Amino acid sequence: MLEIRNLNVSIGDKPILKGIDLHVKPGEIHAIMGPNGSGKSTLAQVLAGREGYTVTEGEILFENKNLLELAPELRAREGIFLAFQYPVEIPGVANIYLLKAAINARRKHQGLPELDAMDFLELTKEKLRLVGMDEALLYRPVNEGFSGGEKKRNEILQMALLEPKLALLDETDSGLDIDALKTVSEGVNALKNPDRAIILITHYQRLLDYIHPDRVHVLANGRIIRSGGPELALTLEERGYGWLETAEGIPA
Amino acid sequence: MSTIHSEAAERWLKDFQSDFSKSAPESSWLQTSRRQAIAAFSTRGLPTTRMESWKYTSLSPMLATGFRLAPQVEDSAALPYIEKSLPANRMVFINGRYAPGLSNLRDTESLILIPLTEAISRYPQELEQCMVNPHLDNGFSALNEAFWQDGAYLRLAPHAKPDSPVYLTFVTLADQPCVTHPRVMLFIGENAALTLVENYVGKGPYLTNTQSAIHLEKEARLDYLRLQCESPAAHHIGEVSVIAEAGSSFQSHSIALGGVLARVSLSTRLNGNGASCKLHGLMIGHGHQHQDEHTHIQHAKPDTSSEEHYRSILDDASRSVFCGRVTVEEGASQSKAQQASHNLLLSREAEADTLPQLEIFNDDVRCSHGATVGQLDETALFYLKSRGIGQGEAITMLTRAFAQVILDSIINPFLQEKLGALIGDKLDKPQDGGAKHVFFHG
Repeated sequence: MLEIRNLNVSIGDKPILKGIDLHVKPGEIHAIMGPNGSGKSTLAQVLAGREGYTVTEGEILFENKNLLELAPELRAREGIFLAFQYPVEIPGVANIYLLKAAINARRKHQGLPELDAMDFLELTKEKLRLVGMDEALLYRPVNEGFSGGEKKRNEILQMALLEPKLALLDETDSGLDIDALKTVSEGVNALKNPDRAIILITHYQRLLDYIHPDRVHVLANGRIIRSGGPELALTLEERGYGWLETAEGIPA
Repeated sequence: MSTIHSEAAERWLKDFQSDFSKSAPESSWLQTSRRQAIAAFSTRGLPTTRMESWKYTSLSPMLATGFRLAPQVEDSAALPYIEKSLPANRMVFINGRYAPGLSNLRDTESLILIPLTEAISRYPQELEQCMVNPHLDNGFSALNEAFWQDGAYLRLAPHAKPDSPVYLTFVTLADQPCVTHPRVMLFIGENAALTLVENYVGKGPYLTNTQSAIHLEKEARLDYLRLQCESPAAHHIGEVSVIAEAGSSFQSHSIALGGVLARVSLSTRLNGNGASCKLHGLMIGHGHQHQDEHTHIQHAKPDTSSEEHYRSILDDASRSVFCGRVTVEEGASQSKAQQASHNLLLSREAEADTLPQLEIFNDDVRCSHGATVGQLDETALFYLKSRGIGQGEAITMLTRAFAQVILDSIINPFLQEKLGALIGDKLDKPQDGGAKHVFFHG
């Protein structure tokens, strides 16, 4: 589904990603872990199409299409979803309005008829229950005045509605208390299916107690320095990132 | 005064005097009032950019135009600008004259709503007090006092709280450049509450030079929506002066969409303990439109509070000016004043000038202000696009959202919705002026 080959990315003159290779199949859950500043978020942003990053080398294929040629909105319509680390507040745009516009943009792209108000509301209410979100938040401006937990739930709600093929969760666990972490994780787990791939980007192991990855990759200083099964995350939790970086000859 | 200003002032005065005709003989005090105003205009002339409060708004292009007093036209010509089913209470003026056939007044004991000319014969003493020896700040108010032909007089009895809004619509239809000088006088009685819409529309090249005087008695409340949808070739000069007595509250929305050059001055005097005002404004500019909103809030008594929030959305080479002057007088302890001005530039040629002016003569007050001028938020734009929403739609959503924040504070849901649609149209199709901006279809 997703093929990243020798991806090199800079911000201005500064290289951030230095040759990333990653292969993700449908149905798989990958965790990308690493210390702050290792390039985790950059990878997520580049996949979603954020401007301001220069791809200096390499390529990204999504279902055999060259992802780097697609505008962000087309990537989304093709089925890529990024749950933001810091969901953006948009005063003046009702949450429900954004959800409806987003879902209908996707459906239009798929050649499906737009959802009418009734069907849309019914579907949205069903997904609200899944992520344990208060219905009142639908009618408030997007993320404005939401608590940290509400913002993250709102991201998962959007994901549940848009049913992406590839979901990127950028530090979705940050800023969540344990109860919120549980509901959010349950929401994500409910969306697991054989056609959908999920990439979890996280600093800490604790999210992986709730969402079990098939593969774990450690990103440090712009490179994937170790890949392994779920047990790698446990080792990291125990020993920190330092031992790996030392082992790989990278200054911590 | 520059040569062009003094020449224009002389020519205007001469032309207006020769055009001015009275529908009925006027009482001597009214004639006195007009004479005083003409004298004041001769002294003050027209404002120039050398005056501090007109620094950013040049009248020079407008002064080259030879405006004449607007002629009377058939009521039917205004029909495209008026909806057919008329909500009560509604008053329509065409080219400065009251149009009874297009108006729908429900006369009740608690709400008196009549043309100003009628008010003068009904309440001569009261009106004489208001109109003789007026305080004329500048040439435009003097012109209005000198040449007004009609306007609206509204008096709401104490404790009256009518459910539906009152609409005042001023239509100007101009084949040749012409001018109208409408007047509005509102008296809101003690503990009474009203929603009032003042709406300006028209066709062709003209100047609306309008004045509204508003008095709120104790504990009264007024929601005042001022909608400037003049024709694309029109000029609009509006002055609103409000006196708010103890415990009263004045809320305004000044929405500036039309005209090539428009200037609204809104002054609010918080004249009694605990009086408050919330002033909101939205200016939208396209092409070479110039929108100017000046406000002056005077905190005259203790425990008064003011909130002010103005926004502009500017495309092409349009321009906005916001000047928010707040005076806290010596006796106005424990007063609060808050001001915000946010400006969205959609083009490199657009320009927004925002000028807070705080004059505080009491230490025991809380005042704050903030202003921003910027483009659409890139992060928000990316967020929407990452949800599959296309660039164009995302820009529209964010631009409308920027305006919506001002509309959200309109209490009447019907007005809020209508205005939202109107502003959506203006943002989508800026080139459609005039007839496009028909407000309130029944």
